[in-house]
Amino acid sequence: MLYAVPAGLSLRGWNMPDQFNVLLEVRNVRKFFGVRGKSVLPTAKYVQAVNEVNFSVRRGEVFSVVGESGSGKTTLGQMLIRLLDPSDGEIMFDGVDLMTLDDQQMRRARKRMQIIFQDPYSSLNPYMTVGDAIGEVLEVHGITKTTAERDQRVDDLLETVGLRSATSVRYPHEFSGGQRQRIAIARAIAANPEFLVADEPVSALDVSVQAQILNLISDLRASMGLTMVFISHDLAVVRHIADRVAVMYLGRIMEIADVDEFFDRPLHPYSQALLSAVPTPDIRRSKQRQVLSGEIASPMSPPSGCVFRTRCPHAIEACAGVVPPLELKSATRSSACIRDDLLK
Amino acid sequence: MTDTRPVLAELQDVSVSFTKGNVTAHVVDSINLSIKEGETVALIGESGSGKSVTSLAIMHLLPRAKIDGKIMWHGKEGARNLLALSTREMRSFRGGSIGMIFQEPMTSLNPLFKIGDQIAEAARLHRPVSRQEARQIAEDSLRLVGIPEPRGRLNTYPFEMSGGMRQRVMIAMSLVCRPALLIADEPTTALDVTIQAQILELLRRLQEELGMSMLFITHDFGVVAEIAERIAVMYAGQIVEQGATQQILENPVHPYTRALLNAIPRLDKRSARLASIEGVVPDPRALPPGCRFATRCQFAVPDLCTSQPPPLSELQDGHAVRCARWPEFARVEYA
Repeated sequence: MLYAVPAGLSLRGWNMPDQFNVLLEVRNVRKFFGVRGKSVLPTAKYVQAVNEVNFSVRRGEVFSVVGESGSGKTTLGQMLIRLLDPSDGEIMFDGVDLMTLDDQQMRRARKRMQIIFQDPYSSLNPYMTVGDAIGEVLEVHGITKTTAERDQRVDDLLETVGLRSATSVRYPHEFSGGQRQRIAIARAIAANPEFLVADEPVSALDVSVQAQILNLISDLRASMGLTMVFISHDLAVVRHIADRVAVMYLGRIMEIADVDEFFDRPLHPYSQALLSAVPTPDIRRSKQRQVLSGEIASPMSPPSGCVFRTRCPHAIEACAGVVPPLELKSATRSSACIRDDLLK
Repeated sequence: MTDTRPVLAELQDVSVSFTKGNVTAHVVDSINLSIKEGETVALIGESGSGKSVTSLAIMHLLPRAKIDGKIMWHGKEGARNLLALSTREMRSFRGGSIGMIFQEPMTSLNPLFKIGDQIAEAARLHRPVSRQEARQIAEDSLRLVGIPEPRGRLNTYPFEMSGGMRQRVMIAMSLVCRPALLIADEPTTALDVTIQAQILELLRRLQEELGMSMLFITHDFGVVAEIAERIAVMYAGQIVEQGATQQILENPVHPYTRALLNAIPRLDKRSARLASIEGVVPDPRALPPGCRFATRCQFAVPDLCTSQPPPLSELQDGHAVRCARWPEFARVEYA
C-alpha cells in the first residue's frame, strides 16, 4: 500500500497513514516549561517535557502512548485536546490546527474531543451530584434543551456505562473507584465525541475492576466508533487495548509500531528493556530479564544526542553526537535509533 | 524435596477487628501462615483484603485494633508470642528483628532530616554504637543497597532523591540491624517498571546475602512470580488459597484466584475480552454467613456455599484452598 504524503511534509520521522483516514496529526510538537531558579531574575532554564513529537492517529484506532514517569506522556495528552498549549508545532484535528482556533471555535471543537483522567477521586466535583456533573456537559454543548430531556439523557448515559439510573441523585463520595471511573466515562461520552484521550484510566483500580473498565472502554469504542489516544505505563493493558503503540522516553518518541509487532519484536533498545522489565505471572518467563541500570535523566538537562543513551546497553560514541530521528524502519514501524546494525 | 528450613515466624489463628460504637469490622479472620528461615512468602490480594493489616498486626502497629491469636517468633532465645510482648519489648523487636518497608518512600522518610542522620538514628536506637560508628553503618548500608557515592549521599535530603533512590534508602534503613524478617508492603507499587525491576533484583540479592526471610505484600501476580516461593491469596480478610508459587500460578483452584488471574491483561497474548469479577468485596462490618466470595462467584450454589463458611482444605503438600466445591475445580487428581 502506498501512503499519500501531504505537500510540504517528508516521510521521515513517523508512520504516514492515508491522509483521509487521519483524525489527529501531531507535527513537531514541543512543550517547554520555564523553571524559576533560586535567583529572582527570570532564568533561561526549561523543562523539556515534550520534544519534537510527530505521529498521526487514524480514525477509529486506539493509539497508545506508553512511557514511565517523566516521559512527557501526560503533557502530550493534554496538548492533544488543548488543555495545554504547545510551545511549538501543530496539532491538526480533522485537518485544522487547534492553535488557530479562537475561544468559540475551540469550544465547538471540544464537543468532539474529551478526556478521562487517572484518578476518579479527584476528577469529579465532590459538590455536584452525578446527574448534575453529567448534565452540565449536555447543557454547555447545547445537546439537550429541557430539564426532562437532560435527565432522560443522563439516565441513558449511566445505563450505557453500567450504572443504575437512580445513581444520578447521589454524590461522587458514595461510589467506589471503579464506579467513579464509570461516571467519569459517562461524562466524557455525554457529548458524543469522536475523539477520546484516556490518561491512565485504570491505573488506580484493582485488577478485577480494571478488567471491567477496560471491557467497558472496548465496548464504547466499538459502539461509538471512537478514536482514542490511550496513555498508560502498563504494557499489558496496552497490548490488550491498543492498535498502535508509541513509546516515549524523556519527552521524545523512541518507537512507533503496530501493537503485535511491538510486543513480539520491539526494535528500539528502550522498548526492549521496558518489555523485559515487566513482571509477568508466568514463572518460566520471569527468570530471564534485562535490568536497566540508572534512572531517567533530568528533563532540564537531557543528555546530548540520544536521550536514552545514558542507560542504553548498546550506546556507542556516535549516540552522543546526534539526536536520532524517528525513522521508518519498515512499512509500519519507526524507531529513533542510529544503531541499524542491531536490527540485523 | 522436603523443605527442612526451620520456621521463623508463625501466625496462628490471627484475627484483627476494629470496633466503633457498636459496629465491629472483622478485617482479618483466623489467618494461619508460617514463614521459614530464608523464605519469601507473598500475601496477595486486592484493596480491602486485609493483607496490609495482617503485616501491621505483626509489627504491633495497630493501636486501636483488637488482635486475637498468636504470632510465634522462633528466634535465638526460643519461641515467643509477639502479641504478648510489652510495648517496650516490641520496640526493640521492631526494627531489630523485623524490618519493614512501605509503598511510599517519600512519606516514610522524614523530609526535614538528612538521610544519613535518619539511618544513623535507626542504628543508634538498636545498637550500642557511637555517633561516628553509626555514621559509618549508615554509609555501609547505603553501599549495600547500591547507592553510588554513599558518603556524599549521607548529607542529602529525601526530596533531592528520586522515588527509586528513596526506596533504596528505606531498604538500607530497615536493614541496619540485619533483621531476620523483612516485611515489604507493596515496596515497588509506586515505582516505574524499570526501577521496579532494579528494586526486586536488589531485594533478591540482599535476601541471599543476608539470609533473611521476607513477607512480601502485593496486589501484583507478576511481582509475586518474580520474588516469592509461596503465596497466600487473601480475600475479605481470609486466606482463600495458599501454596507454592508455581502451584498457585499454574494450577489455581479457588474460583477467586482463577478469576483474578484471568482478569490480568497478558503481555504475551491478546485476548478479545478480559474476564472481570462482577460486584464488590463484602463490607467487613456485615460479612455473609457462608463463603465470603459467594456473592461474586459464578460457581456458588445455594446452601453449600451460602449457609456455612468453607474450611481451608489441604489438597497436597502445602496447597490449600477455602472452597466447598474444590474437588470439582482441581484439575489434577488428588489422593
